Amino acid sequence: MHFVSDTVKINHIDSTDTTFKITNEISTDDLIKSINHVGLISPPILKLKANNRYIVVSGFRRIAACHFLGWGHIDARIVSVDESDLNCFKLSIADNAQNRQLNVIEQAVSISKLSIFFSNDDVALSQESKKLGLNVNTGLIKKLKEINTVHAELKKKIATGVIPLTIGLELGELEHGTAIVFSQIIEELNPTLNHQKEIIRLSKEISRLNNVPMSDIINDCIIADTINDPELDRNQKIKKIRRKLKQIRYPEIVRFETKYFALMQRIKLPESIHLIPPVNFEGNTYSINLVFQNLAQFKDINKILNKMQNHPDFAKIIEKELEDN
Amino acid sequence: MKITDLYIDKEVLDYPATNVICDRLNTSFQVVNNAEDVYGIFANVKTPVEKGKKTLFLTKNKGKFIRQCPGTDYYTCCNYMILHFGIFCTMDCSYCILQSYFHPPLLQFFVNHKDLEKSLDHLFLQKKLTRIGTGEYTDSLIWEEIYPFAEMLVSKFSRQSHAILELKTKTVNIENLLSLRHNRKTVVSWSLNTERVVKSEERQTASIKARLTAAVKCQEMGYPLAFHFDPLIIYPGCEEDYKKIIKQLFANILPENIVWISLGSFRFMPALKSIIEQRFDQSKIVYGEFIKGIDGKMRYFKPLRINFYRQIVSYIREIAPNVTVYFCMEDDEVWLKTLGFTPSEYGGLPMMLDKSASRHCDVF
Ligand code: SF4
Repeated sequence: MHFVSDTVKINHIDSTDTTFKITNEISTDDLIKSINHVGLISPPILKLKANNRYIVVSGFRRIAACHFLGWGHIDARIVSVDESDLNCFKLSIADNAQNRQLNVIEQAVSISKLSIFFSNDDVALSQESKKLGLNVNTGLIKKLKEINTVHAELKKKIATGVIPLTIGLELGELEHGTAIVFSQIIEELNPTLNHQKEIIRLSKEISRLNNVPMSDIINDCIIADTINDPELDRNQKIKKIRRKLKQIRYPEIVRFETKYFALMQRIKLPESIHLIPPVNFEGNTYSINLVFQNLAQFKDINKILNKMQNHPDFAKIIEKELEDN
Repeated sequence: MKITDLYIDKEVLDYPATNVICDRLNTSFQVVNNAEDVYGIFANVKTPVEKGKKTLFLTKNKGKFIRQCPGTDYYTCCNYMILHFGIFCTMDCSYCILQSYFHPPLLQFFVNHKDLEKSLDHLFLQKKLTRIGTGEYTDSLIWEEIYPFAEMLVSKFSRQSHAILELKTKTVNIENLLSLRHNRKTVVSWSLNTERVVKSEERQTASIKARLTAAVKCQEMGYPLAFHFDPLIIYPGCEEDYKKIIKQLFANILPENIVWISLGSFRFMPALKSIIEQRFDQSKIVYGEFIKGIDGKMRYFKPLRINFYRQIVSYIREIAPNVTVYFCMEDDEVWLKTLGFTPSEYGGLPMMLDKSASRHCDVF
């Protein structure tokens, strides 16, 4: 691509034409300070238009900062009027990506603008993006393309990293008010990504199963109270919410597990004996983990095991017949 | 059968079955060099399942016509054989595994019937009691609308004494069967479910009443019958609904004409969940109390399955204490707690079913 370096009048630059703009950052305070202090290190890229005027390919904030500082002229790199839009987009993305890490929304804008030139070929799009310093695989491209459908308020939270991209996209499918409520819960409690996914999934499924809006689930099932409970710390709140949702979504499984733990308590196994049931109670293999440091301890464990085999609750556990408990 | 796009593999253009199907469908077609040409059409299709149900590809089965049913180690399998003559289905059940099984999912009918017949001849020569069905990768009888395939099979099976053919369906396309000499070597079977499940989850299938009427006609023509309560779906009030269907079944069909009844609760590979959510947005079947089973499939929590099966078994036993009931892919714990025995007490599940087949179909 061919540039010429030149000094142009700032009032000949049309900053309202955002064809090549990919950044959503509007604050220029930091740049104003820096340019004022050391000058303009990296000149913006402009494209020549008719009548000796220019549109911005890259450097909207730099131009705005210089304008604020009262500069009448600015050094710039100029691409010719004949340069293709694709090449200008590439320049814009590369120039931004080389200077800083693009946030998710900027990545989405870049992909959205570039994808016009790659029809549905996400593999080629990914390869080209990587050459420009935008490290996106085809899976991420798919997600980035979906961001356009997300409400602005959520987009902001995704851009600032308050909400992970995958969660933002899931919330984007919900009714706006509900999505915001969930995003607030995530913001407030900051659960792990898996727990965020679980909370949303369980709420969604309960909503579909019982034909109730998702917002009702938040309001009804003590989630709101839990979040505002001053007695609980963040982890306790997350645990309580997950438990409550699980109880509504899987009542029989939770009932069974509760009975199982009640029986286990009655058997009163010491910490040195750990009974492990089959995963999800699906298979039939139980295992026991024994912890001992010497023969005497082993003998003690053995005595307990001998008693345990005649304990009626142990038989119930092994038979998975917990109903009459 | 509503086919909007017909593709024909150039290798099978002159096959007799190709000509019959083209005449029946009376639609334009495109000749392709290979399967990839057809698969390519699906690359950017947003609703591949919908398209696949209207796209027919006539081709050759280049692999084996006769295959072992894919079971898993942990759950008890019945050693069933599959006669692989076609793929996919024109009906549309929410729970259908075929939606996520084939990539892309499209109707394929294998017209190299000479090869198929050779495979069957080879099987018959082994003189080993075999249960073989055509309803694993497709519905056995949807194809009757465009090709009298069952006629060839029923006649072929009638001339030997070691293998039985099971035609498993949710259609009522039995007219071609009624006049055939079957020699009791073909079992016609239907999947049954509650009215509610049929209505909400089984699009374009025949009603239960129609299925049972068709079964009665087959019974009158001396065909041995079988019924599959699979997938059993748990929902509030389901026990009563299943009881009603079971009563309806035995009000129409004599227990002694039933070779077997299978029971299988709804299970699915995790990938199917999002397909069902997308394609059947009113369906709630994926929101049961599922856990991941030992074979990686989602299954109802075992204590729930056991309680539910106990009820279903008791409804059947009340009316037909001697009919052979078996579970599709369950373990000994389920068998013991619901039927009171494990298959191994009878030599294993394959043996149990073989014996029932011997009794009803005169095979040995
Ligand atoms: S009838 Fe069988 S093969 Fe056809 S869609 Fe339903 S489950 Fe699938």
